Amino acid sequence: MNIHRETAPPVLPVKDIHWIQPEEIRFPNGNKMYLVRDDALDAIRLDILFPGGAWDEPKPLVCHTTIDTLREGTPSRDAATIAEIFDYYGSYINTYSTRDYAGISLYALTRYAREVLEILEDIVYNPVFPDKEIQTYLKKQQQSFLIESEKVTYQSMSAFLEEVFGPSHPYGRRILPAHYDEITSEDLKAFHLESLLGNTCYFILAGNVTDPLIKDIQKRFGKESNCRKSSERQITSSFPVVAHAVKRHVPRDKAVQSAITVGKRTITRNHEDFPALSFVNMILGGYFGSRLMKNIREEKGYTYGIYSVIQPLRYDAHFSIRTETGTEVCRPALEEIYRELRRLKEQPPTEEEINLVKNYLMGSLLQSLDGALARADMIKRLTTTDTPLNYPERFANAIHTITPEKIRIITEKYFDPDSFIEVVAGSC
Amino acid sequence: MIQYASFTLKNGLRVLVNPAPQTPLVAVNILYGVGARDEDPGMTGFAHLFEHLMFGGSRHIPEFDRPLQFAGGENNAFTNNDFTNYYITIPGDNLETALWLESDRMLEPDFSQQTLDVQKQVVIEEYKQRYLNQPYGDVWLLLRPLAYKKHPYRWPTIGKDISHIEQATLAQVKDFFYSHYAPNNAFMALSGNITLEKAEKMTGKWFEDIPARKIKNRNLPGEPQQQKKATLHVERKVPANAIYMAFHMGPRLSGAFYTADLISDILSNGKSSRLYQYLVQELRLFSDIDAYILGSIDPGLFVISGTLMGGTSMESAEQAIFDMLESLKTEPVKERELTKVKNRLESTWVFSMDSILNKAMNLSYFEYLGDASMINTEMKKYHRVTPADILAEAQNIFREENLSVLYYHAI
Repeated sequence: MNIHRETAPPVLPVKDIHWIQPEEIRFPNGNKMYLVRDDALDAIRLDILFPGGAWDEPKPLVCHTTIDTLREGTPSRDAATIAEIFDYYGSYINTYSTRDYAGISLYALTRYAREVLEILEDIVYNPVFPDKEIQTYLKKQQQSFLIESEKVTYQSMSAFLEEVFGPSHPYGRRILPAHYDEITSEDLKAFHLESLLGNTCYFILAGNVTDPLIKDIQKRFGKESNCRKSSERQITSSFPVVAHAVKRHVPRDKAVQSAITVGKRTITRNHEDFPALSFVNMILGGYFGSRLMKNIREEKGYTYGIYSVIQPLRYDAHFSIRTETGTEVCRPALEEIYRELRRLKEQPPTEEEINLVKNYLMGSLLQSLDGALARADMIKRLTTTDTPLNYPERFANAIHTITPEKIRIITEKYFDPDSFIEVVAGSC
Repeated sequence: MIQYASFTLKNGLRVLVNPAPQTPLVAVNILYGVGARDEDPGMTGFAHLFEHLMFGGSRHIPEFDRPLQFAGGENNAFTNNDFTNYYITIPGDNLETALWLESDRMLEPDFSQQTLDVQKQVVIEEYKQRYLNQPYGDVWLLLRPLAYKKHPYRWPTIGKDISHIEQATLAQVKDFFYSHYAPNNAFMALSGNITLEKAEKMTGKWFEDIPARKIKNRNLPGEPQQQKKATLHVERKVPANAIYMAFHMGPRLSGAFYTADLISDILSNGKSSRLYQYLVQELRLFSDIDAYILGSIDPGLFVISGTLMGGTSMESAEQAIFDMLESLKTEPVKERELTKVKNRLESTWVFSMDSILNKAMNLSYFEYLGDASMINTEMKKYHRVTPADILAEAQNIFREENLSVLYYHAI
């Protein structure tokens, strides 16, 4: 066959992102459940999302500890029994918590979904937080935390968040080893009752969704008495958000690499500029072909990887460029980071670069919506940041129609190099 | 059942196709039958360094990533001791872009001194980031040579000494490519929005004219039977003591492999597992503990690793693990416990096979092992394992003279 290897095959841009807004069911108690159907999967995942997070905590770690120890016992089942039943049916329970919310995911084979839902109901509504188990749990967590906090990436990121939001803000507050000693079962019981059960929560059911299954979940989690009224949180401005540029150094002995974080506060997903901001972030450091990666990894070899990331939270957001470099090349790497920030304005992307990033972003959007679990993850990201569920379409439209002028405006508005906070953990 | 079709091009390239019309995407996976075990002991880390070089452009195409990104594709790769795996997911409409790129680098990557110099530097930073600058990061640099004396599994994929990477020359790199990278040493799988007809037509178009090459014979030294317990003590600046125990076990294609995998699950898969229940929850000797197998093709390692609670001595930690292993060697596992670990394996498998990329990777991998159809018999092999098999295999593996232990002391 006669082929021309120098010539690229024609490329079709992604037009349809295949986003279908999920079906929505409202329980009698006000809780909402989203359905993401995939009959080909012989399993389900049920997520329960509890808004609240660090905003509702009387002290650090309470939210995280509460959600993570629900399975440590109920009046009728101890921790070992609960673990054995989930494991026996091939089920997995994951709990997670961010500064904005806590959540629990149940993974189950279709044929055993009912058996494990019964246990899930029990641990969500009737946890007893037994003292001995809680203290063991906290000791383990403390030890893992000590290991994690040895890492330069952790040190750099936590100092950065403290600089951006301030040390008392729920997004900027640091975790200290001593915090693990201060948690009691009473804290967890109170938080469970007031925050987890007190707020309206969300359910996302993905996979092999059947009517009997929906009814079963509704029967267990939709009871009138189980949920109090929804409470919309009022965020006051009592937390000072630091807006000025600072440089901070976290000293570290004998680290062969330093972790750099350069960034600032930015806008949330609901802001009209957000899709365009994501676009410019992509160009700068959002993917493997980005300017930062090309320059600092692929041309200079200063690092194994460098990325810039926008982290939209529920009430606020931050943006940061993150990398780890050898200590001897830390300075030059920092200089190149600022050079690339300036270059965004001085050498705006060409039409070719814009089209490349457009196509790439659309492709990766398609990937992030592929499959029931991926779509459920998208719903999770959106509901926990109060973003309307038509967001993927809004995003796709904004990307399709972005112009060089819009890119210029975004660059000026959000990427002024003089406004950035710089944190380095390790010698530099 | 995962439905797939397969065919072989004239140059020996094996192609597996799994149509999944409900997704707009297609996953393209190419596994090359070369890993760190194929390296010369004086030139370790080459398979992994080479993986980096495969992204530096190819004979007719100056850049790999850019055209792929322009087509909306994502890609990455990994290297392990047994093979090197490259993968792409891309909108089905643009599949041809992926095949164009993959075929050109299979034909010949662009061997430039500039790319080599930069990627050597990147790999050295990767080495520092992953192996030197993380607490416990150097464990595998220490444990592999403790457990293996002859077999090339004695070094990790990053290499046994970073100087091997620093000294790599362009001539060595080229030689490595032509002795290992070839259509007749590659296993390609396509999963997602594709039909068999389209796959035949397009792979024929882009791959058929790549010549078959003579692959360097794999003649690996077998690992001699270990005669006595091997130990190593190290001191590091970490927050807690840790212990790493490695026992030799059977190869990937033996029945013993499946039994050993289930034993590792009985010990540590899930919160109801034995090590977690007794050593973490009840006795509170460890803050975390894990048992797992490496899953390598040649005879592998069964590993138990644990982080000790402050106040637990190394001796009592090790003894407690031995006690747990002893009960596996003396008492047959109950049916319910065995069913439990089988159910968990099944559920992990069901969720993982929901992804087109995982399906493509597994099809390539099983074809490399000898037959892609193993993707549909894998679960049955686990189901066949009996309590008597578990008992016999535990007695076979958990012997003191079959053990290497790394004691990692916090200072």
